[in-house]
Amino acid sequence: MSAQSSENRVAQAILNGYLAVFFLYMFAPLIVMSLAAFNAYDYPSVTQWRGWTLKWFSALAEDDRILIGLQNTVVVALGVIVISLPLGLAGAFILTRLQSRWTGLLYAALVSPILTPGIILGISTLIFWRNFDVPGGLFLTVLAQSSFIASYSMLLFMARLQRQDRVLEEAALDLGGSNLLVFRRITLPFLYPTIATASVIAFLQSIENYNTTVFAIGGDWTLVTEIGSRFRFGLSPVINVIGVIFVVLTVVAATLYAYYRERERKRVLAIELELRAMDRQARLAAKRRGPEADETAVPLPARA
Amino acid sequence: MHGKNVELSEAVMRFGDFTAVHRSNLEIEAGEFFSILGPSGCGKTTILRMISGFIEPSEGRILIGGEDMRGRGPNNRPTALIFQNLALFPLMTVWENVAFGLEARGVDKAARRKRAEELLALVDLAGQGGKKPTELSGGQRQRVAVARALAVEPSVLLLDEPLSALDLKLRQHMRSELREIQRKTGVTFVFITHDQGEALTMSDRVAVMNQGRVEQIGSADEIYLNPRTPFVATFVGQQNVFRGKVAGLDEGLAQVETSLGRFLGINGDGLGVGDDAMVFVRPERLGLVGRNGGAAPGNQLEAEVEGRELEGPFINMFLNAQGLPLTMHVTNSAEMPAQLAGRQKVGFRSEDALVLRAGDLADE
Repeated sequence: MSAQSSENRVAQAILNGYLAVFFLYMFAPLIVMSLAAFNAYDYPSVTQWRGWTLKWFSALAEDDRILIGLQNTVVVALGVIVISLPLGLAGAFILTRLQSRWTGLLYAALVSPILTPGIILGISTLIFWRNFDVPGGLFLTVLAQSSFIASYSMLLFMARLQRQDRVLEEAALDLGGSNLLVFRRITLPFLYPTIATASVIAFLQSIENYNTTVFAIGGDWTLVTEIGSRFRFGLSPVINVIGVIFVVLTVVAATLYAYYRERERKRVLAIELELRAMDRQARLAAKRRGPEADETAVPLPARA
Repeated sequence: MHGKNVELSEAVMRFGDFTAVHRSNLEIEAGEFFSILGPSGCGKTTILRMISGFIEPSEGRILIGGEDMRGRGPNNRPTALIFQNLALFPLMTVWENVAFGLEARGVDKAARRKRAEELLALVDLAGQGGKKPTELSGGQRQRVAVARALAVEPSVLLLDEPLSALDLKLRQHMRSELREIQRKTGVTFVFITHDQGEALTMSDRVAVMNQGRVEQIGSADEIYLNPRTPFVATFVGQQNVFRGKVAGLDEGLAQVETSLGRFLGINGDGLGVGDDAMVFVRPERLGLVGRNGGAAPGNQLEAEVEGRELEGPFINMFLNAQGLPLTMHVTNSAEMPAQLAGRQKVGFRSEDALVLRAGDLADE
């Protein structure tokens, strides 16, 4: 008994130690990076501490290239969402709804951009569009990024569509619905959660992308390519300020998400409990009314 | 709403090399409660899907109200289908479900809502329109599906085993409920089921199907009392079956030579001497010789009592006649000896036995 509990204590200690190392490994760089944003020293550092300052925040506010880069990043990310989601959805429809012996081949072709190195996607987009006199820039960046982000969207939509009850669409058609109405009222609402997820993933994939973007961006720049190019001349703590802002945004978003999910979980649980209570009452009422009665004939409490 | 007649004319349905429905002719009358009964895989759902327009027959025609339906999709036919799993739209409220057919026809929202409430009242669900389908019980969901189908004012309502998901008690209740709705609306109901109890109790007429063929169409009485094929005879209700060869004929009766003796029965197929035949006797028509009137001479055999089951009003007796298992229903009356055992003489009257050409039986 005591041997076992001491064994448990040892296991607990090892687990705690492991977690501590794990979190240290994950968060130490973030902490160092964040601290450097508040250091009054011209280069990102925590070892050369020159005192607290907020001047890098105001420096960021005046750094036009960074701000424009941030704006470009958002524009590109939105463009990527607009192009990738319809493309991904179309691919998912073809692969889940139509069956032929080419389906496997088509699947491989449509997924291959994910496995292709980003550099190749960037370069080949640039070379291809040069034939049509389209120079590198935000537009090409959107296209280049979409070429693989659409594949991610497709995989997400496929997973969702495979779980769909096709009979619902048949039922809607049978009731006189046109294909468009059935898509709008049945299929699309079913896909809403995936549209949200796919948008978030496309957005995140887009803003962090460097390999593909750096070739397709031409004379323009995004936040990431701008930071990349500044490496050559040495960074300033302005970059750390951007890091701090992103960390804060991430933490806030994650907290809000966790909060709303918990609230939704409680709401669903409450409905389930209520239904169960209603069932119980209906059964009791049916029993009282004798063998002829059954649950359908029993008015629910809300109605009675 | 008014019902229309449905006609399958020389309809065939093939899927690749497999023929799901062999050349069939079927006439369903306007305003009729018509059931198609058969084991799973017999082609009954295929017929339903042909009528509703989800599939086109490989050959032949489908007519509804005299109109050829070729080339008209499910959204263009005067039919509505109630699916086996009901297929209520989970993301819509109950009234939106019911009003979907009206939405498809461009009816404005206020009118839709009003009509949905009327239909919900018809199926005894007044005031439940604001709920989601998941917040209703099984029987209530069933009635929402009926209301949703009726909203498009179909001439023909097609029901694909809609009761199979319900528990026994609810199923029996919904039988009378559906029958009632059919009477109130006058819509033609085509009801698919593998449950003979459902088919026999609800329908004006029943079609019994087996392996893609319609074996018999008739009222419940006709199907039960005068089955036309060995399959129908054994699929609907219980039967004792004796195999043999016709040995003699006598005014509409046939004498069949079996391993258990010669039995006389109604010659249902007009068989001739020497034909392979089967003699069918229902358990309730088999009796102990020497009790309650007894049996005609000749149609007697000896069998060993192997077991009994008390059903309440009657007792199920399981007999063994030289290896052939037999079932006999014995009325649970005061004269019945409590323990019936050992070797007994049983028999049946020749007018209670049906002789048909030997064929496939329904395997239970």
